[in-house]
Amino acid sequence: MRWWPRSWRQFWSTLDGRTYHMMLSARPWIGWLAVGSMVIVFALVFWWVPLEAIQGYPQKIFYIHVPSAWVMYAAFGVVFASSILYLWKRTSLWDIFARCAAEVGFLFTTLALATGMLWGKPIWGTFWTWDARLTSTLILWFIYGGYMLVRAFARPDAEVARLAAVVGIIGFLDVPIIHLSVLWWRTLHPQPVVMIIDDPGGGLPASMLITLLASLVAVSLVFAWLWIQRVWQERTAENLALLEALLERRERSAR
Amino acid sequence: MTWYLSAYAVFWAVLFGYLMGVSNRQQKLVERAEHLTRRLSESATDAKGGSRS
Amino acid sequence: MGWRAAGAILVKDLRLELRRVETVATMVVFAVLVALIFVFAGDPTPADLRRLGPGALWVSLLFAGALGFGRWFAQEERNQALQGLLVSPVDRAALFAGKWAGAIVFLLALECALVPATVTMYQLDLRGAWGELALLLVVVTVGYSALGTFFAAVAARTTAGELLLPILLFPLSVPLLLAGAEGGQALIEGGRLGDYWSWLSLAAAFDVIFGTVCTLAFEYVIEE
Repeated sequence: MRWWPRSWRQFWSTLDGRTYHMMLSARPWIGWLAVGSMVIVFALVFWWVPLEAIQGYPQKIFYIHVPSAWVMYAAFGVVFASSILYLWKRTSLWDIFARCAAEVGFLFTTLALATGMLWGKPIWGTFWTWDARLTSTLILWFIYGGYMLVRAFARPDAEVARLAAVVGIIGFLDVPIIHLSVLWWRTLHPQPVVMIIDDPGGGLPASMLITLLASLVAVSLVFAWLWIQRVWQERTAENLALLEALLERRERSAR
Repeated sequence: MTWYLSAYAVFWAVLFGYLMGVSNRQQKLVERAEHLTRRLSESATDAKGGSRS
Repeated sequence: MGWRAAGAILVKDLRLELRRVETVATMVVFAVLVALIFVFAGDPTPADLRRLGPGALWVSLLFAGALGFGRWFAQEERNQALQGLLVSPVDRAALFAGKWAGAIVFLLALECALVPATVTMYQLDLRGAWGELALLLVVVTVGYSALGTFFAAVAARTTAGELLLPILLFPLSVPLLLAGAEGGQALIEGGRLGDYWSWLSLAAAFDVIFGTVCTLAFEYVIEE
């Protein structure tokens, strides 16, 4: 497949194919890279990075909580971009990109919530407080969920992909506004305890910053790997269905 | 200490669970491809066998 | 073609609804009941009442709206009227604008009854800030109606339509709910007009953004 397209029109029309091609090339090794980097991060967290003075051990959850949240947003971004491209170009690959990103994104949203809650319990004493970030994450969980429910419950004649794309686009556009409103809400009614360490302005010591960055890379690789796997599976299922239908037709005409 | 370990445990457990799901789906796809290949080869031999000219 | 069509749809919806006033009346009763239920559920002291009041008002409105949006679209789908509209050369955006306007009118009518009822039940003292409250109500209603009409169309195309509408609508409407509740709270506590205006501007920005997006995206929903 030619890498440099002849024109803008060709660029956009072949973007799905070229992206899929790149994903296929990455598939054999990206899983190993992801696992390897996660092992390294674990080693860093368990043995290298120092204990934080105020929070102690629970603070180390930070190194999987923050990357999970980051991936959650990145995945939603992929859903957004793929949804727009689907509505524009109407190829099946864009729809596959979107729904697989939503699925894996939902997974990481759940992880972000779970790690956030398990971090909160030792720090705040309860599993849940209406802290701005946790609240926004919960709302995002529901938006992702709604997206997947629309796909699950769409009528066969309605074009599922189209409906889901629209929901994905509007959902993504709302996220910053939800963030802002929840943050204002919390500023007006401040919570007693605030998580000190993940304030970026607070200045993280170098070792913690390195560990965090390493973890960001590792978790992103895990996301990329899972996403690529699912996209490939969905595409293959689609191809198989096509072949089965062709076979069906051939057998029926041969009778 | 327990919370920190359980958070990491939960993280891995959930990821692992999802991976199990993914490989299940993989398995089904492989079976489907096998089945399809078998049907295709049957249909090809039928055609060679000459039920229609 | 566009604006006149939108106007025609609005008039048609209004006429249909006014012929059966019971529908709006039923929604009013439902909304007031929700506000009532909160009191029974919480058994609030007078101080609690005043704190919960604005919230209860908006929750009742949100629930009643979610019910209403679903019905207004179900109405069209039932007698294939939507198909008829689509066949006619009406611009999709105008179609949305007409339905959106209809939803706004109905919700505003609902609020005319709901607000006095809630203010009484929750012993709210607005310190004469009725104009500001009205403005807040209008702005939030406009935004909520846009999302509601839009997702009603989306949900109507699914088999779990009635359940799916609130699931899609509520998370996305959180900024409006917060703006309404916090803005209302600011008015009741008095002397916090700065907060009120901040929340009002947030809601207004929300309206502009999602009004536009929903109008533009509507054609992708009802494409056949």
